[in-house]
Parts: sequence; structure tokens; C-alpha cells
Amino acid sequence: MKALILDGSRSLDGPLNTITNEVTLLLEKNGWEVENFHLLEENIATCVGCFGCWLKTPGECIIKDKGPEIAKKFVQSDLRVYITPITFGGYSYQLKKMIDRLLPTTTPFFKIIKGEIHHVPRYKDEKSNNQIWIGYLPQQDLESANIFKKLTERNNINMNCSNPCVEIFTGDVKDLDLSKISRYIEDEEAFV
Amino acid sequence: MSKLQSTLILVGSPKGKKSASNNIASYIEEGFNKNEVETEKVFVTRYKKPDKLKELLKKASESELIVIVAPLYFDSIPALTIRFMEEFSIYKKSLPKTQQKLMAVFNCGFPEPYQNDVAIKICENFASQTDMEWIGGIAVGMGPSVETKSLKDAGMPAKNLRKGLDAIIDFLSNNETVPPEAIATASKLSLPLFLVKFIYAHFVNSGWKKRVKDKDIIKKMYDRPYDV
Repeated sequence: MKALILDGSRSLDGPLNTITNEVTLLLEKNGWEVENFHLLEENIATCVGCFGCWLKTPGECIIKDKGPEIAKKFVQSDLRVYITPITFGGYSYQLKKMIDRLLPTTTPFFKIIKGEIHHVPRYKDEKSNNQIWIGYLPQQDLESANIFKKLTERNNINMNCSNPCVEIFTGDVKDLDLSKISRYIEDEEAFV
Repeated sequence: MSKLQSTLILVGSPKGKKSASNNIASYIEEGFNKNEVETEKVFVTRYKKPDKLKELLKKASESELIVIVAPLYFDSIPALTIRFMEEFSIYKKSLPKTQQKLMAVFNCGFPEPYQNDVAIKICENFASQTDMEWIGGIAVGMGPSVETKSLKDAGMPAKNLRKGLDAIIDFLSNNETVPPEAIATASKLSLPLFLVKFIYAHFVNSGWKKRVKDKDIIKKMYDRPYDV
């Protein structure tokens, strides 16, 4: 099974790097084939909002950089892991620039999902859509943590994922407690 | 009471001028100018390069009020606008403390204005973390109704948005507290939500097909180019 890690950290070292390494090891130990993208190092332009991926080349972005390659791996992975410093409650610029480029994985068409209007997903049924959201805060910050959780909830609706895992790490990451993520991976394995 | 001195209206849409965000921003700019408040409208897309971004950070730090007007992208703020916010919070730490205010206006393609709520909460938290006074966030549903027309010409669908903005601009121009009712008015759909949702679910989809220039593409709009 394939896992895709999108790492939205702002530097090449530091706590986010530790988290990414530990999660990668955990997944590999559990038999996952892991591909990791440190988005800071990739050539990914920001979405220009042209709707070319809906109206000109349906399902594919018209910008020919690393974005379409990662979007393809996103579609083809069994598990997506997002890792980001929590930025005012949201994702970092580095992670968000890639998430915005996932627009081709939806269609322009609308339907009612959970009583709200949303775009019709282009791929996958929601039972096979597995996502782990990992946020990092340098210190306790309840407001930012709550906004982050709410944002992942909203994204899970739009990304057609009914069984996500959300984890927030704070402060020192020397002795990282990965038990929640570990249980999720085991559950997902049993499900698959 | 003294009048508001300067306002930076930051258009956060990647589409720049041809966007619903710009139409809303232009309306806000005209309103302030009518009240003799100095404004500058900027497009975040024009400040991508590091030296240009620095220029934008300086402009933002010198404005008494910043108004972020942006579309909703994946339930949140478009990446380039997040970049500005990240950099501004760092830049501001190097400056002496000043009185600044922040307001946000988000528009989404969905009918439910509340789908913008998380983006607005992020802006409120940004204001708090950068020592700015939070004025409030306006949540605009049915963004496409103001995408191709100015807000003045957008008719009934933009009625509440215009009414709310007119009041908010007047309060802000005179440095008065903006009452939550004005924000609520601007955020309220001008049509009943159930009706708009019905229209979206049954009629708007055909609109997307009409926007396709190459008619062969219409059959491919649900295509899955990547094997799964």
C-alpha cells in the first residue's frame, strides 16, 4: 500500500523534520511504501484560478511543474499524510500551495453533501480515502488548535474522506507520542 | 473623533483584476474615497518576488486599516495570501508597535456564506497574533454573482452585501466601532438559502458546460486521467 506524505514545513530541519522522519519510519515499519515530498524544495507554482483543470484539460492542471505529478500520486495513494506548522490556525503557505493545486481532483459540478453544496469528487469513494493531518505548534495555543481541527473537518468533506485522523504536536518533539497515528494505521490496515 | 487616515485593500485572488474579490474591493475603495479616506488597492499576485513582497509588507505596515478581500480556496485562504500573512507577522515584529486594524471579506462559489467561516477565523487569529484590532469578517456566498459585474451592477443578489458594506465603510471612516449587525447584514444572502441551494443542485451545473470553449471537452468533464 502506498502512502504519500506532503510536508509543509518552512525549513529543512527542526521539529517538523523530526515528525516527518518518525511518521515515515512508523509507516515503513507497518509495511507501507512511503513517498515523501518536502514541498519547500519542490518547484510548485500557486494556483492561478484559471479553471483550466475543469474546462480545458479536465482532471489535469495546465501548469507544467511538480504540481501535476504530486496530484497524480495523491490520487493513486492509499493514504495521504499532511504535515504542517499551524499558521494562525491554518496550514503553512508551503502546504497550502500544493493543496490549492489539487483542484483537478474535483469536478466543477455541484451536489449536496451533508446538507451543503460541494463539488463532485473526480476519484474514489469515501471509504477508501484515508487521510492523516498533523499540525505542529511551538507552544500550547488552544485557539489555533481548534481552528486547525475545524479546517481539517471542512477539508475532509471536500476531499471526500469520512475517516480521518488529526493529531497536533506541541513544543519539544524528542519523545513523540505516535500512538494515535499508530492505532489509525492499524485500523486502516484491518479495513483494507 | 478623528477620521480614518489610510486603508490598504489587499485583493487576495489569484485571478487578480478579473475576480469577484476585485469587484468587492473596488466597491469598498469607492466607498472610502467618497468619505475622503485615502486608499490603495493592491493585488497580491503582483508581489510574488521577494523584493516586491518586501514592498507590500512596508505598505501594509504603514496602513491604519488593512482589508483582505479574497476567495475561498479549499475551505481556507489562497496560498499567496497566506504567504503574505506569514511574512507580515515576522516583519511586524521588527517594527515599533502601532495601532492597526484588520477586516476580511471572503467569497466562495458555494451558496452557504458560512463555508467562509474558517478562513475568517484564521484572519481573526492572524490579527490577534500580529497585534491588530479585529474589525470582523464578511462571509459572501454565491461569489460568482459578483464575478462578472461590478457590485453596483450586480442587482438583487448583492443587495445585502452593498447595504452592509455601506454601513461598515461609514463606521470605519469615522473611526467608530463597527456593530456586528452591519457585518451580519453584509454576510446575509439576498435570496433564501433553500432556493439558492435548489438552483445550484439543479441548474448551475449546466452553466459550467456552457463555459467550455471546445465542445468536445464537455464529454470529458468527468474524466479520470490518472489510473487508480
